[in-house]
Amino acid sequence: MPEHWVIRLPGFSRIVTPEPWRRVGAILLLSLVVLGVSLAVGRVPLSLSQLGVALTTPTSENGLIVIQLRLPRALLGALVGGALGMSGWLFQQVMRNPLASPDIVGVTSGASAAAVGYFSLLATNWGMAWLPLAAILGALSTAFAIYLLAWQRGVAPLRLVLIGIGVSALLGAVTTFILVASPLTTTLSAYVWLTGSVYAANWSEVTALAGWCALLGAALIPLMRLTLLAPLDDALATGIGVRVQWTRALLLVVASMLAGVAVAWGGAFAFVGLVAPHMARMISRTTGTAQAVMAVLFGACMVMLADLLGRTLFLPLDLPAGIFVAAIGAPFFLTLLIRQRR
Amino acid sequence: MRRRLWLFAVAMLGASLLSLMSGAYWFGPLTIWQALWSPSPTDVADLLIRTTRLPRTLVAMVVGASLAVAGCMIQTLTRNPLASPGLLGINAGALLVIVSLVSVWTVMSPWAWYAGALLGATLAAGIVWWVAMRGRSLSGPLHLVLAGAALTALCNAFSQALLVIDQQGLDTVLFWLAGSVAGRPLATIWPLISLALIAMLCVWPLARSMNVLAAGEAVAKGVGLRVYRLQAMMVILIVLLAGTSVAMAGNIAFVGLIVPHIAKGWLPVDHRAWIPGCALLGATLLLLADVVGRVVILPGEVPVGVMTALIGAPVFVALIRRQGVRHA
Amino acid sequence: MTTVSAHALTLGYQRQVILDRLELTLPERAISVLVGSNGCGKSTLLKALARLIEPWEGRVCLDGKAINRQPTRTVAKSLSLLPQQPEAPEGITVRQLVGLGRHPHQNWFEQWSEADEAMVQRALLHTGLNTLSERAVDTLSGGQRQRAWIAMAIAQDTPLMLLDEPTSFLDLTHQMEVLDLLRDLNRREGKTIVMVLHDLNLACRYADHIVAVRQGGVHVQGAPKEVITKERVKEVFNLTCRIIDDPFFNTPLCIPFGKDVPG
Repeated sequence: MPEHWVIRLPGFSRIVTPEPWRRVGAILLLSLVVLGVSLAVGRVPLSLSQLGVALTTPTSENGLIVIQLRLPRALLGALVGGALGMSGWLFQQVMRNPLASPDIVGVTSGASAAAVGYFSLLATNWGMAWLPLAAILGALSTAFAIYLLAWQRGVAPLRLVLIGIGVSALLGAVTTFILVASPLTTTLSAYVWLTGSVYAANWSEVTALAGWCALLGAALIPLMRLTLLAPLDDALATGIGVRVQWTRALLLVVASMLAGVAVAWGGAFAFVGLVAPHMARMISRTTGTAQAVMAVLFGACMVMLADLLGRTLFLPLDLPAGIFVAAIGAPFFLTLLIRQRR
Repeated sequence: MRRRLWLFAVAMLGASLLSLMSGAYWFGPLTIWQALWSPSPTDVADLLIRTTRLPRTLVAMVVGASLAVAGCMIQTLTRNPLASPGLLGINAGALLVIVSLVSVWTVMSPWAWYAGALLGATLAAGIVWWVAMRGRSLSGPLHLVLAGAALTALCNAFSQALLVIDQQGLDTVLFWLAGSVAGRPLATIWPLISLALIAMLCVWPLARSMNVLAAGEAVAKGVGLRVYRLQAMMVILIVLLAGTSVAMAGNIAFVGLIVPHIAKGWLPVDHRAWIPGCALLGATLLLLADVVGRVVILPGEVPVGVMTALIGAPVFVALIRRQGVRHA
Repeated sequence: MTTVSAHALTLGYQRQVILDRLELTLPERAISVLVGSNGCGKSTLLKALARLIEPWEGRVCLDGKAINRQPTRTVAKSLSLLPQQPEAPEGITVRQLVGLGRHPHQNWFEQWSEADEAMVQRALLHTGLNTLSERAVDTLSGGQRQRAWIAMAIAQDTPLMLLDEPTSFLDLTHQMEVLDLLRDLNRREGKTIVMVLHDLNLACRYADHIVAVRQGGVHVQGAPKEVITKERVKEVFNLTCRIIDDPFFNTPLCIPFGKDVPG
C-alpha cells in the first residue's frame, strides 16, 4: 500500500494520504447503516424487503411513512449534525482551542436568544415559519458582534473565545429570563427548541437546509487549504504568505453560518459541535480534509441515532433528539477518552 | 496589592449593606443596625430584615465568593482560561439529582435537595476525575476538561429527558435552573454556609503551592511539590465550594468563569492575592446582581443568575479589550 | 536578486521604543548574524525585517520597495522565516509541515506539482528527515523538530532566509549540524541568510557579516575579524573578555572572563 497517492493532471495536482480516507469510508458506511435503521424502525417496524418496497412505492401506506415522515427526519438530523460537526471542527482549528465549539463561542446562544424571543413575542402572530430566519439572524449578528468586540488591530484567537464566552453568557441570561417570564406553554416549546429536535421534519425544511449546506460546503472547497494553516501561529503563517486576519475572518464566517443554519432548523443542539471533531481527531490524528469529513459524519450519525432513540425508546412519547445526542455521544466519547493513550 | 484588596473588601461591605437595605421596602442603615444588634420581636422591619434580607445577603455573599474561588482554582488546575467549576460536571450532576428527586420520587424537602445536590456534584466530579486519571496522569488537563464536558452533557441530557416527560417538574425546578438566592431560611442552610466557609479557609494555605503549580507540573515536581496530592486537594475543595453553592443557589454559572479574569486583571500574578481578591469580588458581584435583580422590575424579580451575566459580561468584555489576555 | 534593508526604522511595543532610527543594509548571498545582549532588540529587528511588525516610522525594503506594501504572498516567495520556538499544529506530519512551505507557490488547483514534490523531497533529504516524513511532528526529538522547521523554510525556496535563534535548545552536535546545513545552502545555492545567534564563537565561525545591535541601533557591523574585538564585546555585551585567533579556523575566538579575571 503506498503511503500516499499523487494525482497529477495538467494544471491540477494533489497529494492524498489514503489511510485516513479508508477510515472515512468505514464511518460513511456506518452512517448509511444508521440511516437505513432510522428508516426501518419506528411505530411501524419494517423488514429490509418491506423497506425496499416502501422506498419504491411512495404512494403505499409504508411508502408514505418512510418517504414523507422518516426520511426527511433522518436527513434533517444528518444535515444538522453534519453542519454542527464541521462548524465545531472549524472553530477548534481556527481558535486553536480544543474547547471551542459553536455552543461555547456564543453563536448558538445568539440563535437561541433570537429563537426564544421569537417564540414568546412574535410566534403568536406570525406563526413558526419565520423561526429559522430569526435564528440565523441571531447567530450571525452575534458572531459579527463578537468579532467586532474582539478586534484590536487584528483578532487574537484567545481573545475571541473569551469575548465569545462573555457574550454567550449575556445572551444565555436573556434567554433564561425570557423563559422565566413567559407563560408555561411558551416555556415548554422553547425548552424543546433549546434542547434540539428534528420532530415533524418535512421535505421543504430538508431542501432549505440542504441548500444552505451545499452553498457553505461549496464555499469551503477553496478554503480547505487554509483550514490546515489556521492552527499555525501567526508569525509562521505570515512567513509562508498567508493573510492571517483575512483567513481567520473568512473561516469564522463559514463556521458561524454552518452553526447558524443547523441551529435554525434543528434547535440548539449542544455537544455535537464540541465532541464530533474530537471523535474525528481520535480516529485520525492527522489533520486535514479527511478529519473534517469524519467530524461531519460523526455529527450526522450522532443526531440521526439520537433522533432514532428519541422517537422509539419511550413510545408513544416522541422525545427531542437533543436529549439523546449526549446520551449516546457522551459514553462513546468517554470510552475513547479512557482508552486513548499516547 | 494590599490597597486593592482593602478596596474590594470595602466594596463588598457596601454591597452587602445595600443588599440589606433595598427591595420592595427600603430601610435606612439605622434600621438595619437596630435589626441586627437589638431587634424587637414585634417590629415588622426587623423581622423582614432578619428572616429575609439577612439570609439572602449571606447566601449571595458566600455563593459568590465560593464560585469565584473555585473558578480561580480550576483555571490553575486545568491551565485553561476557559475552565469554570461547571466543567467538572458539578452543576450538571447536582441538577440531575435534584430533578430526579423532584420528578421521580417527588421529594420536596429542601434538606433532601441540598444533600442530593451536594451528592450529585461530588459523584459527577469523582467520575470526571477518574476518567481523566485513567487516560494517563493529569498532565493532560485537556482530558479532565473534555471528560467534564462529556459528563455535563450526559447529566443534562438525563435531566432534560426527565423534565420533558414530567412537565410539572420543569416548573418546580425552573427557578433552580435560573439560579436564585432568595427564600433560603438560615435554619436550613447553615450547614452549607459553614461547609463553604471551612472549604474557603482550607484554600488559603494552598495558595503558595498553587503559584508553583501554575509555573508548570515539571517545575512543581522539581521543587519538591507533591503535585498529585495538591491536584487532588484542589479538586476536593472545588467540589466542596461549587457543590455547596449549587445546592444553595442553583445554576449560577458565570461567576466562576469571569470573576477570576476580572480579579487577575487588577491584581499581581500571585494566588495569595487572587484568592482573597476572587472571593471579595465574587461576593460583590453576586450581591450587586441580586440587589439590581430585586429592584429593577418591581414587584417582579430578575433571577440572580440572569443578573450576574447581565452585569458581569459587559465588564468582562471591556476588561479583555482593555488589557488583552495577559495571563493566558 | 533579493536584498533587504531597513531605513530610519523606529518601532516598539506599547510605548517603549525598541528600535530607534535604525539603518541597515544586509549583504547579498552572505550569512549575516545579528548579535547583542538579551533585550537589545535583535529579535525585534528580525521580525521587522520579516514584516511581522509594522514600523512606527521608517521602513523595511525588500528589493528597494517597502515590504508592507507588497502582498504578503509575493514577499513569501522571496523571503522565508523561522520564528523562535515555533509550535506545530497537533497531529501534523513532517511531510505536511514541510509541504506548508510550498504554500506561496501553490494555488487551489496546483497543490502538489512536480516542483512542489521535488522541493519537499530535497528539503527532507537536506535535513536528513526523508525516513521520518510520515511521523507526526510532535513525536520527534528536539533536534529533529528543529530540522523539520528548517526543512519547511528550505521548501519555501526563497533567496532570503531569516531565522530567529535556529540553534536554541539544541545540543552542540545538533547546533553544528544546523549551522553546517545553513552554510551549505548559502555556499551551494547562494541563499542570503540572516539569523540571530547567541553563541558569539559560532557566530564568528559561520558568519560572513556580523551586525552588533545595541540600544535599539546598529552599534557596529562588518566581517567577524573586524568587528569582534575586546573593546567591542565590552561595549555590546558589557563583558570583559580576551579575543584570540581560533587555531583551526582562523576566526576570532572569544574567551569570556566572568568573575575570574586572569592576571
